[in-house]
Amino acid sequence: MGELLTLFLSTVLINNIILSQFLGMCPFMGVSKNRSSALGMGFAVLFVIVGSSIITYFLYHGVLVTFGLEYLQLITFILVIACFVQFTELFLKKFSPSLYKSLGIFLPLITTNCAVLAVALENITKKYTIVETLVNSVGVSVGFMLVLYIFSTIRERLDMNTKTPKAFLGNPLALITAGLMALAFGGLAGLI
Amino acid sequence: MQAIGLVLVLGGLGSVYALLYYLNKNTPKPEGCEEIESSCSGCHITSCGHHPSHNE
Repeated sequence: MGELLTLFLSTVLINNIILSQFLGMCPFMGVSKNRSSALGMGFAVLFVIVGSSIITYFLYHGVLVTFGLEYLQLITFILVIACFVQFTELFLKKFSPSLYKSLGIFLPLITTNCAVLAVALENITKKYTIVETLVNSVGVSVGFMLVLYIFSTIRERLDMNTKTPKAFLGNPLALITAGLMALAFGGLAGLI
Repeated sequence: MQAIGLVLVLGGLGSVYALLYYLNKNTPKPEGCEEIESSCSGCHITSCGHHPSHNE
């Protein structure tokens, strides 16, 4: 139990997928202009990462290992993620219009989010069990959502600031902020 | 054995993706969500299908 808690905390705070591994930077920069978008994207990523991690775990151990096709893991995982995103969009359209309205715009973006693929591959290369896979994928997603939300609140406040020099407006200031956030999260390295 | 597995895995996943894509495209959007794509003003992710640059 203690090991699982350590794994969860380290994936959320210390080995954060965005700030320490620099994966998933596209949505981090693209969908962090306002809080509601950031939160919507965070929940969509949480759902897809956890779902695709479980499917890829069973596909790898149940099919690829059985046939001796471990070298196909990259291409099969990409296909699984693309299928999962299509299925999620279809399911939400049919059964949960309200959720589709809030997440629908972000779902196609997740297919191109490298963080989703990274988690699926990490679960295999680190030889995690199914419980560890679940904890790791939830931890990475929560870390992604946390950082994206914090970053969006900072960007909203920065956009209201009228004293910002013109040369720093927009992406330059966002990148400097991201760097400072990475330094701040780096300070949590001694936590565990 | 490996070749059969390869065809089964890639063929199966490819077929599932094609089927889901087809079903997704042909499923009507729920009421109130028809304008969901036009509400996107565009972010920096140009590979997204909703990005306004694809409509130009």
